[in-house]
Amino acid sequence: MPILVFTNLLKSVAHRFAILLYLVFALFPLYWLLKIAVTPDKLLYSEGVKLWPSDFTWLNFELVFTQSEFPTFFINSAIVSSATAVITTVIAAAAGYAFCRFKFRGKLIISGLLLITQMFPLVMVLAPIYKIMAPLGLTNSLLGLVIIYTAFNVPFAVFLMQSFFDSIPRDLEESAMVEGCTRFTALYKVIVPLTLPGLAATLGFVFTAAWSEMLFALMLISDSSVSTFPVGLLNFVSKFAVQWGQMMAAGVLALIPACIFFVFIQRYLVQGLTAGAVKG
Amino acid sequence: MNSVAIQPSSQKKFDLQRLLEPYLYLSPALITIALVIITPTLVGISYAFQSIELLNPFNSGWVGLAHFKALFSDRYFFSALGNTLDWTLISLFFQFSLGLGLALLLNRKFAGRKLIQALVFLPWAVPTFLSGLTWAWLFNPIIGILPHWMASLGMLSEPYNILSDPQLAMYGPIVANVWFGIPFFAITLLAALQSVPNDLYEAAGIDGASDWQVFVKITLPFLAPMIAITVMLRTIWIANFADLIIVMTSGGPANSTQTLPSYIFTTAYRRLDFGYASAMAVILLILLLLYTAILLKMRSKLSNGE
Amino acid sequence: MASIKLKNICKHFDQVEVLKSINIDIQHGEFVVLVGPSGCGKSTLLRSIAGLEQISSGEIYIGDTRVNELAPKDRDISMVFQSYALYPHMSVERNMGFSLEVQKVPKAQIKKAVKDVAESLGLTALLDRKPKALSGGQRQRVAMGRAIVRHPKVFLFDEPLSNLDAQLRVQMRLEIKALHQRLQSTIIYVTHDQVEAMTLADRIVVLNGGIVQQVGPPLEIYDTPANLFVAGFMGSPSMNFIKTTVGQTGSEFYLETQAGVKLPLFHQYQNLAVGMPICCGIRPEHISIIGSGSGHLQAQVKALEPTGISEQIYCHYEGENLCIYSMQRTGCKEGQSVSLELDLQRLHLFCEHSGQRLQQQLFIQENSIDGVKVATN
Repeated sequence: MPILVFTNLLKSVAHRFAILLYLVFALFPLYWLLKIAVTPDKLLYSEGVKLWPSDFTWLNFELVFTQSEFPTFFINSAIVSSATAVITTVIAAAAGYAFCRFKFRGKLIISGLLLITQMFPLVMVLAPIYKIMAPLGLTNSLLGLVIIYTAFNVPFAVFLMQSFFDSIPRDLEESAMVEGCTRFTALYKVIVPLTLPGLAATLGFVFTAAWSEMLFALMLISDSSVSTFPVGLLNFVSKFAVQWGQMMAAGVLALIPACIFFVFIQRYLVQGLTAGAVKG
Repeated sequence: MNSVAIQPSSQKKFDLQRLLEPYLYLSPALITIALVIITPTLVGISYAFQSIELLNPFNSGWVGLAHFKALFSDRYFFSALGNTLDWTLISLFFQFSLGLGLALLLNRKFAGRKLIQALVFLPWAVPTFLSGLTWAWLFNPIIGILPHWMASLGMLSEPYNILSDPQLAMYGPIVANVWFGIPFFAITLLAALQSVPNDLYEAAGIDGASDWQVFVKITLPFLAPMIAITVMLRTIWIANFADLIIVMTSGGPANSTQTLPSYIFTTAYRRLDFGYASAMAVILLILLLLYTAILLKMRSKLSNGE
Repeated sequence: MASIKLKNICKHFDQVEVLKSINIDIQHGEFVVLVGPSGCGKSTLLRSIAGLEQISSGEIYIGDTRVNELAPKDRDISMVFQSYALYPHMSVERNMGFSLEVQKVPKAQIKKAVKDVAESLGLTALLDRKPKALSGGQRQRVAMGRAIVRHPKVFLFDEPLSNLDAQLRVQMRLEIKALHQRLQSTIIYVTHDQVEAMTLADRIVVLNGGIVQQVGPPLEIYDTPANLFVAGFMGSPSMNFIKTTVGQTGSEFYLETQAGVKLPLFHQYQNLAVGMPICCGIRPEHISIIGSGSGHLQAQVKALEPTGISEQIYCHYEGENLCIYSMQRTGCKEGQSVSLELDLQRLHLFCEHSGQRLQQQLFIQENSIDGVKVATN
């Protein structure tokens, strides 16, 4: 018995230690980002490699808010990401529902198509999209970004929503339809309230993806009044190569929405994928 | 019965409605994708056969396979190809194994699990350009701590920025990519692990199986389908992923970190030579399609052989 | 309440024919049970009547209305599902009132209607609860209440008692029967449990392989099953079958078992011919164990199942298994040799090739009273 207790104890300790390593690995870069953001400029290079700065300052954050264009970038990113998240989720919910509940011709082909779109090198469509968007006046516009981001996020969002719908029994819609609902009303009154976690997860996932997107934003947007975060930050790098503190402060601010969203929805992602995994 | 005469057409209308219903739900998704992804892709493929240089607008028109011919004598192209292979395989290996490890660790109940799970998945939420920048900082000996640690561990002779060393530069983005990609595997594999019915573990426990045996004979087979899908998807995403490289090294030094997607991006964005960029993209697409086809073939062979 | 007519209903799933030319007429106010083994098509038929499945050909009439092209919501039916399908995010009260809510009935009216139905089912105390806080039996009642509130033309039940434990099932059966008597509603009820069918139905429809095997009141189906399938399916414990061939001495016919035992036939049968292979059926309660060796069949006891009120004895006879059902304790032991007597008035004859029942022939004989011809068996 004592040996069993000892090995179990050893296993627990090893387990905790391993988790600690992962945690440190995951959080260290974020800590570093924060550290640079709060280090006063004059100490930046001399204390560059210290783990803990000797002096704190919120000055960088202040400057970012008041003296740079970051508030604009933040707002633009927020608009684009929220709009994309909402539109994508609605479209994906409808398509995911169709895949889940209906048998129809071409089902296999269409789902194959969705899979293939994941494969296209993004870079391959950069050029054509630029050439198509330019005459339509959609370059340098938030609307253009929303359209593109929606299209690219739909396939995976459909996969997610389909998983979530799979876990809801068919009887519920059928019962509602017998009781007087059309299929659409049944969907809206009965099914959707039950998939709220799924909707939240999809919203969060798409929001995070749109928030980080860089290539298309870089390619299509050159006017800083409509820049999103990635574009703004990178332009910052080239224009003001020495203001690291401010840049990192901006980075920390950029981080917050994405991280908050993601922290809340990751649980639903695991839940939803588990349900889908059971169905195979 | 009077209703007999009306029946055929109302029956037809009813049947038609029922037939069209699924397509109605699908249409927004299909239209969006057809317009925004499929059409530009087809257009993009056609660019590969044209000369489209925005800086040189008079030099336009169909050039057939000229771009492809040029590719074959472009040594940057081939080095990019090789780099892409390194980049993809090494990133994938570490992301997957570390992700699997994390999933296994999280599959047990322990105090604070919910919080720790949320924190440890955070890297996925960080915008890639930001993580690129941060890791670039961490590797810079003046403002980052990693070179110093690596030197004291004996990995480097003295602290310097590996991102400026053609031999080692690739590892910079790789490390950032691994950091970013672990949560993806951890989340999906954790979901798969949680769907393994408990009975199986209980039965194995009664049969006296050791932890390793349980892992190999019960857990892995259950995870196999999920592993297959995620590895396939992730390989494709990594191969297509240029953000980190562009931000951290811009493909340098001396093109040692230039992968296909970043080379394509540079050609398109900086040189504005859309024709050449598209030709390379077509090659990349073909390679990826081949890869998927091979994997699917292997998978059907494996499941037939069972 | 309404009648239901099913005319030539056929349905395929891909290449498989699931329902083959079903014709049934259900009177208004009738409780009809569709019974059969798994996969016989009974649930598919029920769902087709509801409009949740589309039929490939044929017509369905509810009342005088042809409903083929009507969506479920327009057919004026209610359905109780096997899983009850209660909306998890709604309270019991809202669940029950949902159909009225959809029809935009004023809230006060809904509240009253729900209250009345809840009272009749004993659910008043549960109105505020959510389904997950209810027991199996309570959920079943809520599902029924939900179906009642609408006062539909027809009630459809899809194996509603399958998920309940044995005791609860008996109780709910009585409640459903009471409901029918109270509401005088037309009910179509699907089950694979033939005891439910026997106890609840006004008429039973036995289905197998998508084909109607027999339609009739429970006792008619029990006493005169139309073919081998119905004979073996209905009745628990199930009917015994013995392989025999027809023989004849003089004008009397008899059945000869493979062991050479001769069973005289008391009735006249149509189409009887010497040498015909007959599957002879006899119900377990029509066999008795007698003391000496003078019974029809000599068998050996294999197993005993005493249920307290009765005893089921399983015997081995010439390679076949026989079950005897006795309301008394017989005192038999396993391995014992016993002598079995068959009630020869209660034999069921089935043609072995077609499985069809051999009908008993009616005698028309001169009766001395007033010279009137009288038919006797």
